[in-house]
Amino acid sequence: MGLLRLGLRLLLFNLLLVSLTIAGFLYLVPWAAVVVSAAAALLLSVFFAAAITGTLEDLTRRLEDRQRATETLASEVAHELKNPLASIRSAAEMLHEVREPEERRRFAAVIQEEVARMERQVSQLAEITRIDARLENEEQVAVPVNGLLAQVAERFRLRENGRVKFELEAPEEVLTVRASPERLTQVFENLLDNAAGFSPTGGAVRVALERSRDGGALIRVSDEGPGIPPEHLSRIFDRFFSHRPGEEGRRARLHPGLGLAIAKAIVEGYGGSIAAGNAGAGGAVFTVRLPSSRTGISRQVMGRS
Amino acid sequence: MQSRTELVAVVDDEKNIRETVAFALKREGYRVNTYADGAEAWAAFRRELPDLAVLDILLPRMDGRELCRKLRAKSETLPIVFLTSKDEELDRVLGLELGADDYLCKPFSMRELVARVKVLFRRAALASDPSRREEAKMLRAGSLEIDGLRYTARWRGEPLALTVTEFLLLQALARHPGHVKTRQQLMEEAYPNDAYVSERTIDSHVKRLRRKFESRDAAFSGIDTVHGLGYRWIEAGAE
Repeated sequence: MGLLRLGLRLLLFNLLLVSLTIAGFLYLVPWAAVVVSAAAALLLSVFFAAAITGTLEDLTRRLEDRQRATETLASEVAHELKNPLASIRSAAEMLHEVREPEERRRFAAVIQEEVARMERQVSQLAEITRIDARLENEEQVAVPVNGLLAQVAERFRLRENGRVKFELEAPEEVLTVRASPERLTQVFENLLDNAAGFSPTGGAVRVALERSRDGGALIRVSDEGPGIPPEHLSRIFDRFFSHRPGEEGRRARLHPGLGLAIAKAIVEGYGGSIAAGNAGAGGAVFTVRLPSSRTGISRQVMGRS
Repeated sequence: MQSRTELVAVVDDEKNIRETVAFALKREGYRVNTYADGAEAWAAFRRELPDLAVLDILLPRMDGRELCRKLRAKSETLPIVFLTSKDEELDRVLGLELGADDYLCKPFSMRELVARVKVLFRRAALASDPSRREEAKMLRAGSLEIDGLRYTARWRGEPLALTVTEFLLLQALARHPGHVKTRQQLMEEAYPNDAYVSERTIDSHVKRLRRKFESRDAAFSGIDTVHGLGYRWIEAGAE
């Protein structure tokens, strides 16, 4: 990028020389005018050069960050897709070799299962790469968090059909944040999905909403699962990170490890934060903080709903 | 189907890979135990060592590298095959002296894996039986002596500790000293059962092979890189 800056400076220097020459011809004799115009041109060019290179440098840095992120993502994706690919390849080979119908069915099922897994990985991937762009373009409104959480919890009650309980604690007052309702729903769906996946049968997932000290919304999602091993806490929001307690269970199949990464990207996109921890009594706790929307707007929305 | 009694341990957290590998090896007559993580495998190995281990590198609870080190501390001869899913991972693992006997990249060919397992068992069996020596399978190129039956090589009379892949690459190169072998040709000779292996994989194995010679003689230049073409064995560089 240094090259671009150099090119720009050379260009400006040329412009300066040209303007000096023109000024020289125009005024011919009055040297004072030549000196004045030269000084003006010099000042202007220095000013513009500084402004333009500053902007360009900033832009370049952002592009470079983006490029690095893309490269990391590409390498993670390649790695992540190789496991299902390995299963598919070996199952296909075995399908070719074995004759017993029972075994053939088994390998065909492995191929189908792994193809479905790759499909999920690929679509979630498209999702996560678009989040930044989407958040910028989507209309943000004041969303009452109480109602949104109640809806999400109800959907999960229906989905889990009694296997896991979903309890919601929310204050009387309605807390609102500025966001796209769909994106915010996705955050809590991913968190509840994660909590439900780790919950034992008959366990409860608790969602607690309260007003944070700075007036924003503070949401805690806790479960009665095995909790997060301390060594995994720092990586839990990493893309493709999924820790699989003991055996693969139903978790590893269902989750390509992008749900929490997506939740984090959205929450941070809205100027909030997300953290993972363990409750003293066991189980994982995810804490989401979202800044408050301006009260004026939130009242309007509340009045309408 | 031959009847064998050798016990193979397969350690991979991917259930489908683990079970398919187990199925393929059982079809060859091996006994197979499978484990989903490193700690579970190690708990079992402490009671009974397998005769050969197939390990994934990234394992929950105990990393494949650590498991390999622990296995090596218990047995210097037990054949170990690593499965890896990243080319970069391969570079990193190859850079460390873990003492594995072979590495295969995911998605690997099952036929290739089964072939490697057979070779490793043969190599292990013949290593403890020095009497058999088939001259027809011996190849000499200067100070290099290659035993195609045992999958072993000696240089200046001293044995080289080579993985099966490195051995196959060396054999392919040394068979025609001075002749350039393209990466494609090397691929076909080192992975006869595999349809596709990346060129980078060949490069990292060659790099590793070269390093093994250099650790004996820093001036070693027997494996020449021919830019844009491939590699060749140069006897003068390996005297």
